[in-house]
Amino acid sequence: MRVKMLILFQILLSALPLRAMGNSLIAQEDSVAGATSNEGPWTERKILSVVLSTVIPGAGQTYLGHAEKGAAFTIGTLASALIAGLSENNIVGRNERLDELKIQYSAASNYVGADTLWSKMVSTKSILDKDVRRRDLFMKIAGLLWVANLVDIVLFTDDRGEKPFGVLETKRTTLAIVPNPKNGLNASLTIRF
Amino acid sequence: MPRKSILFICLQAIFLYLFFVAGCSEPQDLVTATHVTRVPEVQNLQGSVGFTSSGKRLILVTWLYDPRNANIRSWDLTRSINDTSVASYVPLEIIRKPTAGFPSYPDTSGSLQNSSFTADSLDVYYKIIPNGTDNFVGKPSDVLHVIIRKNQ
Repeated sequence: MRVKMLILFQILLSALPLRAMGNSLIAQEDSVAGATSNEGPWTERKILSVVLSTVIPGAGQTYLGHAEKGAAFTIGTLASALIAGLSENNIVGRNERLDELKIQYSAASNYVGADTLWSKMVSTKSILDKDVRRRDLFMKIAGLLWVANLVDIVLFTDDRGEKPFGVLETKRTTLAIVPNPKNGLNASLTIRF
Repeated sequence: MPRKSILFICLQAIFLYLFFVAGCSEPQDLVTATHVTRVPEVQNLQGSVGFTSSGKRLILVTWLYDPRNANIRSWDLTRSINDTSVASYVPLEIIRKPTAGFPSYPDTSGSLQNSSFTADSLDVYYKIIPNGTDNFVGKPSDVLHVIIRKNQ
């Protein structure tokens, strides 16, 4: 239930900047009509890049033409978040395991059985603590990268122009089929990355 | 910087905090280890070799326990002869908690007498297992090793 509410909150949140973008476009049209502009460095592209970087770290940098930096932020943050998520998943599983062991331990009727269960509980707790430390560490790293990404997009990333990401000067894919004088056809496919 | 962008970043930060930090699981703590002291442990397990007034060989097994822990009903005395494997221990006697003092057991069984010896000496191993009043079987004692010789 809480997760659903958070996802709904996220969708509403994502709609906010789009509305803001629409308003700014209207304002821009008005300002063009009035032949005045007071946008300063905060162009529509810059605002959109901040919004993109807020949602997906590095996306704003990539949008503004800094593809390598953007990729570094995206991969770094997502990898850290993934490790933190996997550790959290392990924590949930080990908490459940610890619950089962506690029930078995309280029901144990002899020392030998109880001692075996106790050893398993201590071992599980030790791994659980390691998972918690790993999760906390990588969550902090992901958080720091997110903040650094925002500082970077706001203060240090300039707009390299409206060259959309992934569009090349030359054709990306070519296919050539040429008759072979000796026998049949020659086909060649070229893909540029 | 436009105010709406700042607002959006703040809201996104709140969302991320709620989703990732507040949504994290707390690690469970261990329960207190009760099995170690639940039943009093067998301490100072000793055995002495002697003879009864009728001339039979006797091994007197004695041990101590902490009388402050009242969760003790009896002790299972197990014995193994010339074999140290866990499965070879045979229950010999159930010794009730004495009303005063500490428990002991005089072993005068036939397998300890000279007539049943096949070698010059006999290795006898004892192990005591305490039983609590709550039916919890406590920690087995260390093994007591007694060597008796044929002509002793």
